Amino acid sequence: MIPQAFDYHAPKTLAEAVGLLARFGDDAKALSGGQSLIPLMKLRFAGPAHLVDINGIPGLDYLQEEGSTLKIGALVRQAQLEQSPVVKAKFPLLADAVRMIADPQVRNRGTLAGNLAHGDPANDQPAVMLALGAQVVIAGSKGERTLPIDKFFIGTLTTALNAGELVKEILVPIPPANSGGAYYKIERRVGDFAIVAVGSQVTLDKSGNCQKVGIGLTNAGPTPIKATKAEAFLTGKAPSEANLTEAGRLAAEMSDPASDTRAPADYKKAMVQELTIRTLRTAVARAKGGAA
Amino acid sequence: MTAPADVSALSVVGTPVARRELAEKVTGRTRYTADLHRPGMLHGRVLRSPHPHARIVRVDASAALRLPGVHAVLTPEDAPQQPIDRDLRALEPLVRFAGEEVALVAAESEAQAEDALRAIEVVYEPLPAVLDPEAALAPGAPEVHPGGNLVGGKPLVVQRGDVAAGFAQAARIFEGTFRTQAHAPVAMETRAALAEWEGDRLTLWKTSRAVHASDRPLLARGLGIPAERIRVICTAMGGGFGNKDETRLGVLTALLARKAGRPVRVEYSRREEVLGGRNRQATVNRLRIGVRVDGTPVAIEQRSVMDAGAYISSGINVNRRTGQGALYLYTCPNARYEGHAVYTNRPAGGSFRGLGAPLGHFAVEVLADEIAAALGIDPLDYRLRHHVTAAGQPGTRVTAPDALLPDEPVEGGVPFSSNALRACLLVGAERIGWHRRRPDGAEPGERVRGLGVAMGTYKGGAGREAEAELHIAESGRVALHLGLTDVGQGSATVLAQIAAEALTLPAERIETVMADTARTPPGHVTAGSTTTFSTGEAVRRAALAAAEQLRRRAAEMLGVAAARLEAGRLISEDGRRSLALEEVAAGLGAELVTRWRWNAGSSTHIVNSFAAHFAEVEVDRRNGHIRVLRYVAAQDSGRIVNPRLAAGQVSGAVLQFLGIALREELFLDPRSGVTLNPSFLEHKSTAIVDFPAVEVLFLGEPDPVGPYGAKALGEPPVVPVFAAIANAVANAAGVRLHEVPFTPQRVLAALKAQGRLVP
Ligand SMILES: Cc1cc2nc3c(=O)[nH]c(=O)nc-3n(C[C@H](O)[C@H](O)[C@H](O)COP(=O)(O)OP(=O)(O)OC[C@H]3O[C@@H](n4cnc5c(N)ncnc54)[C@H](O)[C@@H]3O)c2cc1C
Repeated sequence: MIPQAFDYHAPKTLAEAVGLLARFGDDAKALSGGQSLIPLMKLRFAGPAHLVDINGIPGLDYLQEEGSTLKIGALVRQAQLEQSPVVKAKFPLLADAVRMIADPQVRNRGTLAGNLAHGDPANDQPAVMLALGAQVVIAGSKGERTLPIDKFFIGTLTTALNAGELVKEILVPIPPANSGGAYYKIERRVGDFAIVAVGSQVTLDKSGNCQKVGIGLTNAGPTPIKATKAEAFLTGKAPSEANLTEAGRLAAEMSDPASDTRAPADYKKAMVQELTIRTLRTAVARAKGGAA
Repeated sequence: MTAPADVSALSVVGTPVARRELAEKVTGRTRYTADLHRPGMLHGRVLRSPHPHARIVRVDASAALRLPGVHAVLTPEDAPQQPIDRDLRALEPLVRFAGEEVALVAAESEAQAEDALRAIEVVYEPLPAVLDPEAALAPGAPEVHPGGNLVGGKPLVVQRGDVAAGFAQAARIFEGTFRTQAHAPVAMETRAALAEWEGDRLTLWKTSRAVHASDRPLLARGLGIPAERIRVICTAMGGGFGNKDETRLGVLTALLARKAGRPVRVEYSRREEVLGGRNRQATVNRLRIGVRVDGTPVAIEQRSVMDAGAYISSGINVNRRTGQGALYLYTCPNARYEGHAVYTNRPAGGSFRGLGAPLGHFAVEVLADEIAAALGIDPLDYRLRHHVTAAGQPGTRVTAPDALLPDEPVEGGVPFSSNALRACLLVGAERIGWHRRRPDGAEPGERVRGLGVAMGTYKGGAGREAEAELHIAESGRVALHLGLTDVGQGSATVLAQIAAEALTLPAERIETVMADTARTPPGHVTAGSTTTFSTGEAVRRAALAAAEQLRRRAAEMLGVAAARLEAGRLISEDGRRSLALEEVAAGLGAELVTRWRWNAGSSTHIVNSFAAHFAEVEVDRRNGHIRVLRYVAAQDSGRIVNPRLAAGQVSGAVLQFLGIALREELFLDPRSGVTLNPSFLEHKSTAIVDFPAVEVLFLGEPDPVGPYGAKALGEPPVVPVFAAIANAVANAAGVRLHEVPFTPQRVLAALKAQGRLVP
């Protein structure tokens, strides 16, 4: 439980941070909340020679609505999302999920950006952001680029970030009226990582059919999964029990979980189906203005 | 039996005196072993084997010794080879589980020591390993220790009556196979030790459940020096649960300090605590119960196979206590228990809260429900009809008439000193609202609710030699010197209350000096829930002896024939003149020291504690999740010395075992033999937010044997938990669970297999 020795850097600007990361390349790691990186270092699964602490960079902790977008700065902590009135009012899916991430201590430090950048399919935010259709703004020494979230996750603990790049902010489209979302997580106990979890986001049209559907799966494969087949199937259809069940089946079909000490793969797959149905049901009820 | 005369009007015993050291603990001022520091102290770290079974061909520490800050490396070549326990040596050129100690480094910082571990070169010759008891018992299996894998060469057999004859009389025979898992005890504090030599004398501070009874003799054997030259101290414990420590940590720390020529402290990481500590053993229990037409048990037979891991530690006792439920919970003339403890190349098992009792009771109490269900009897009624009563078991006594009865009796013909099992059942049922209970699996729908009951019996605290020493200084300072450790259960508080009661003083007036071999009389191991019962009685007698001397001296000083002690004053018989206890102490001319020692127990009565637990659960039939909605724990632990601490013990016990019931488990990779989840991240233990508040009821009468009527309390409440939950799940969803933990995937599989999924 003692990390390997490393050099510590505390840049004061984003440019400085990006510069340091570019200079040290693969030998460097950015540090934000430290809630994933520090444990890995203490177990010596990670041993960066340089740690670039971005916590001292001012102006990265904004959480603001701009037009039809919610902008979330890189240093916004999970606790900030948890307490945000905008999140509560407009993003029930995110509100459900964020209070199930770890415990208050971890949420006080851990950031949304770090949660995504870690690239862990067991983290909750990737599935949430996949369901919401977020975009990731990436800063590098050569400037900025914006990537849709479904292009961000490459493999287990690997993302589209290149050496020397940082997540600067996350852009989340604000759902229109008649939208609802829900997150459901099966965990071994309160504050645990998911055995599996599902996040669903639905917008209904005037006739009550599903106009837009987003479904993200947590810990259901080597990367976070966007259940595109289930989304496509349900889009334009009535949210009947039969259709939700079929969507659940299709989501499970897209999942590719592994057996581990949390549960065997077949249980996880069965739960992807069950949780997809449950979250869609709640999302639809919320879209209709129900409290469920 | 008649109640002793001195329990009529108690003023300190029975009151919720605040726990000693509480403020120090919650404000972080308590000094645990890992907080201690000595001048010149080095930090020790342990190199552990990656193989479950291997010969160590060579250890080359030269590169490690060249690293900055490194002072010494201890290898099997440096370690004395005499056994320190039945099957344990300090360090051997052979490893028996993945994670076993191979070498140690002492360096100026922990980080330097950690880096140095990686520079030690070890050449292993891997040997075939056995990872489960069945494989270990197969003919030709690799031997974990010379002499075969069945510990002791034969199973433990204990019996009463004649089970074959009993089964022959049975109208029906019920049977089942029940499994319980290996898991880690996870005390908050990990093991730690600090060794300092002065010439040939050693002082060792360590996490401990027995500085006198275990650590010192073990160190004397391991180091080859007389016990008199060893002082062992435990400053404070951050949780023990009977589990600290049975390992070689103390000996290794002392050897490393001797080699380095400096004091050395070793503190285990969580991973090391799980691998190198002592875990709960997995068991498989085959149980058969033969009953008459009306359900009356006539024969009970249990066969248990326990995976002891690579070292037996207290596994023999665990194995023995696995049979207690079958042998003693239901009135039955014929009972037999056969327990096999089996070595495997897994991390070692050891003692943990309840030993085998909760494991065996799980089988007994689930099968009892199955019998009741098959016969159409309400499970509460079934228990009310057949639970063991104050009369004990039928049969004839086998213990010699004047001998103390064993703490885990088998024989019939001996009554209990007290037994409030019936009251526990009745009052507990009332509290949970048992009348609401519907037939098993009657509720339709996705989420279904149900109620379950289970009983437990546990040794009441007898079976230990206990000693207490009371010091009254001329200044009036009163101090209780006790060799045992308060492992966090609150024994210092409770024992001070007992002394205070006898001396008619407020509890705060009694200082406690504990767990230091240089300053205390011998003390037993803090295990078996025995402290209040056995040391408590020694304390009471030592304090009464002191009171007697004070009264005599006071009479002299007052010039009267006799004086009495009341509220800390010594009063002449006519009540006209009195002296404060301090004045009499000052008049004693020297410190007054009284001692009492006894072999705790009774030759006429079995002393047992009892419990009946009730659970209400909700089962999600689509994902297999169990939610505990309510939990009522009705306990007979005799008189409760401190209701606040006692309620904390019971709630803590239940919460701890709910976590074990639902999820905690250690997994081993079947190919490599490596433990897959030696961390809090993947070995999930209970948090306070997981379960509802436990409703605790104390229904015992004062016990005639225990001090002021007290009986065992720390472990008995863990005993019924698994079965209470399994039986509630059976009532809710109509499925029987025979394997702990009741994970969602296991519940869902049972629902599927037993045709109980939601249509
Ligand atoms: C006990 C415990 C329980 C947990 N349970 C959960 C849970 O239930 N659900 C869940 O989702 N998570 C859980 N986590 C993880 C937690 O949410 C982490 O906070 C999160 O995964 C990482 O965010 P961070 O800000 O702490 O990142 P860090 O740990 O600082 O960094 C994580 C990784 O991301 C990189 N990184 C960080 N910030 C940036 C950035 N701005 N740009 C580019 N790269 C960056 C780092 O270099 C590192 O590789 C748990 C953690 C702990 C300790």
